[in-house]
Amino acid sequence: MTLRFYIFLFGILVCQSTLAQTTPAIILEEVEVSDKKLKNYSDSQNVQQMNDSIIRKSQPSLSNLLNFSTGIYFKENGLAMVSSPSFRGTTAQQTAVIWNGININSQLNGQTDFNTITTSDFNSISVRAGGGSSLYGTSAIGGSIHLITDLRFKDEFSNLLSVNYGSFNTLGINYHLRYSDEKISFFGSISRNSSDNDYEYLGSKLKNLNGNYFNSSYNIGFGYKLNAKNILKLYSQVYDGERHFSLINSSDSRTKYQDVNTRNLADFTTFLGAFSSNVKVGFLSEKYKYFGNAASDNFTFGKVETLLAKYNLNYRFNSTIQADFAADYTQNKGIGSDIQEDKRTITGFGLQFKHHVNSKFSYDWSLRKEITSNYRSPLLYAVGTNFKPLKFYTLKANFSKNFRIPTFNDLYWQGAGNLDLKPENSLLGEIGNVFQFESFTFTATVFHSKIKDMIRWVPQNGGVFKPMNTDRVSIFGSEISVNYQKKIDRHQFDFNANYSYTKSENEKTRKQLTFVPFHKTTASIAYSYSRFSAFYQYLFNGEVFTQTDNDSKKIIQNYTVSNVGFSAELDKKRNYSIGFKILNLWNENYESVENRPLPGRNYTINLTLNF
Amino acid sequence: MKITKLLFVAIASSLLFVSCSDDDNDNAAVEPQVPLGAYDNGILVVNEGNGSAGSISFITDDLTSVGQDIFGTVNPGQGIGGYVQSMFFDGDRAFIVSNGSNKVTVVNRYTFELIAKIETGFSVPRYGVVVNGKAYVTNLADFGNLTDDFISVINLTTYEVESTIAVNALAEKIVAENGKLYVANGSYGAGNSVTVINAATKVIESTIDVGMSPNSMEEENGFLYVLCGNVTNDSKVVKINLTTNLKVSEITMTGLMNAQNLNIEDDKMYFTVNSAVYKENLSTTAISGTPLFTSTATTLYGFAVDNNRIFVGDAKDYASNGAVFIYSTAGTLQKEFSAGLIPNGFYFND
Repeated sequence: MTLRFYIFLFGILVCQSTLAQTTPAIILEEVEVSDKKLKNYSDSQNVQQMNDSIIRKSQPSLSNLLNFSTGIYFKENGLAMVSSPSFRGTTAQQTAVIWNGININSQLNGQTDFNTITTSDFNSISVRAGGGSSLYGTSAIGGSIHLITDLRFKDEFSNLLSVNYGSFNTLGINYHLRYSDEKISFFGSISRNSSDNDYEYLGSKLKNLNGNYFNSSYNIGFGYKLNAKNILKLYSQVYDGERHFSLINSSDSRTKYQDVNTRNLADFTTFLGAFSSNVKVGFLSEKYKYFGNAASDNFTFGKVETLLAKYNLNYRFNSTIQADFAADYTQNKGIGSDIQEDKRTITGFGLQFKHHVNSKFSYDWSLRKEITSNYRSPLLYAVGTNFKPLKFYTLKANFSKNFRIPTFNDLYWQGAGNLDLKPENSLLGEIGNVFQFESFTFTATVFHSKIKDMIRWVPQNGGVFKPMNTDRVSIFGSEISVNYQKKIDRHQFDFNANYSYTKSENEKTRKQLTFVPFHKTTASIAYSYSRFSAFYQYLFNGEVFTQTDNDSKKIIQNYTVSNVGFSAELDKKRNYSIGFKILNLWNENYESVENRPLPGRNYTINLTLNF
Repeated sequence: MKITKLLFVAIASSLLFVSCSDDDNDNAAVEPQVPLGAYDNGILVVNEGNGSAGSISFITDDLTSVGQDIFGTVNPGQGIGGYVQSMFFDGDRAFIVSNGSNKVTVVNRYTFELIAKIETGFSVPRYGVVVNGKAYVTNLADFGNLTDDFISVINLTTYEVESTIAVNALAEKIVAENGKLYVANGSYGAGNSVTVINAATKVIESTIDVGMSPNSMEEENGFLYVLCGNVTNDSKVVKINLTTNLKVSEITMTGLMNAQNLNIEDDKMYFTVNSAVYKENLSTTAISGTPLFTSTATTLYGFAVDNNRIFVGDAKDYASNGAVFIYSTAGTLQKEFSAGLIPNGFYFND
């Protein structure tokens, strides 16, 4: 491997040109895909892709979509409130959310609130399990979620309008426009969601108070082929929402929270023989306002603006070997009620290499090193192989080093921020087995990871909390998934199921981390016949501890929640469809955070127009 | 949002406790022979809890047993609210203050049976006292605003907040003496005075400058002793004459920053610096000494001295069940009990 590395480096440095064939198929793929690394460097890991039709079955938040279709655990402070993931037993800051190849986790608290992403704005969403810091930087420790705006270059013009209305005066409107020809491609989505969110708590006279919310968002992609060799793409996304935070006790202070996030990215690709060069320039902003008293105008806030530039040079030695060199520069400027204005710049360099040795065996590796004045950054890496000895069996293995950098809050919070923090870092190894028989796929993966220098806000003497690099965590887990599709005449069946077991222990106390379930199962079955379709979703979440001492009295009970939905296309051209969903069909009384019950059985009706 | 919660916890927990309730010590002479309820003759431990619920633990006076969540045990289906800050008494009644839920729960202090819930008229309530049939509860109100704090005046017949008193400064710890309310204008190292309010007229009579953030205070023999500190300066105790409401002297503490938890017992003053516990003569003028002992608590949080015992509440990592350590006044560990989440104060039914 080392030898190959030097050979490769030599190749890059002298720009030795090999006779490479850049087939049209490869160009096409490069053109349409917004997150190339996801496609090129994920063969040794499990990537679960959710397309438009799966996204549309789900409720519009990213939490809901992933909760019912992946092993990722979600902790939700009530319906539509702050939602934090735990992917493979990690913390909420150890899952990266990647929008068109750009990491969009908050610079302030390091995580993405999965209830502030409207899924219907994206063409496809992929879940990549396992380490990804050598490609995507911070937070890709448990895994990464990829929000994708794909642009197609073929003659197409379509409009889609979808309206959902349901219990608790919950309204969701989404409009998609797609226009493309061979030169230009446009995709635009605009969404609006709102709800009174005042559901009754099962088994009590109380209801969810102060939980109302609304949000608006758009996501746009525009591609233009200047000529056969140059393509310009522009992406833009805005999310603007306000949520009142629901109460636990009716006399709690009524608070509210506003988020405005904007993301803009220009992407320019040039093909030059075996080379393809890509320049990205982006501007992101995030801003929150927290109103400790929803009725008053006083608020605290935090704001970060991010400017980034990325350069990527891809070189195809031949049809089986390719490599990428990447350089990037990110500048974050943050300010807030409790954060003095501070600037952080990070320069990063990356190398990736992939070799399809033959039709049965491939391997890839990647390296990334970031340089910043704030902290010492480790060398991030990943090596992976994909081996297919039998027609129906694939063995995958991956080993990676990943990290999570200190956030603006960790570093600069007035009176508490700690400038001596190191990044959290993790070593992760995994082995996956994929069995594929025609329309049946069975995947079994085991992984083990060790995370050290976990950044925790630890009470100091005098009661002040300060972020420190403290705990070490050892995680062992396994994931099983089953996928089956069958089409008989006009009958189509789809079956998916996931089970994950996660043991995530503080190495010192040997206690399970709080809010990490040992067991989680999801399953879904979809059936369609002609113009009618139906689905059933099932979720089982095992119990979680709420205290670090794993007190068996301080747990969130396990729960089982199911949804069912029906839809029918009303005309032969399939331009109109109507759908009906029953959420929490069996009226399970459940919660994912103590004393924050989630709704019982509730209903949604949907109308969709294609024109 | 996690960080707002953290901030909240940081602020809510930053003010450690005086927690030595000297109410009713005057009645010690008429000690009842028959217990007045299951929770007579023992120590009530306030566990701050989280945003959803705090709890009260009870340790018997003979230190043989502990009961957890006694309010929940006696009153199933009822709660005392989240971030339980403190407790105060009036005769047989105990008032439990929840700053997370803006709520004061009134119970019989010996049986813990629920008497009333007061859920309006508060904004982050902190501490209370009772004067002439009315309770006075301090409120922090908006965390970002240091001058909007106020006192809620509770009618103890109707259990309603009947009026408020603007303090125009921070309002945290409160002591009543001779019909006057002494309000410590200190929080988290901020503030530097004590406001004197006439309870009957609700008029601010004077503001006593103590020079540094007052975090705990106790009345003894006609004087108010106020412990002041922050994380960057030497702490001090300011002695105020309660007849004249004037500062009479100061006890300086060389090298001791952010001292907390002033308690006075038998002419000795006790206080803490981090997890070290100090014991000094009340008549001293300067302190630079060594601690009486350093507690084994991971995070010394609650603290009180009563009946020749020193009580330490250990909040640990603020995310697991806490512990209570009981020492003799010589500093010898006598007993250890488990408690609820974040034990922040001790109150005595004796």
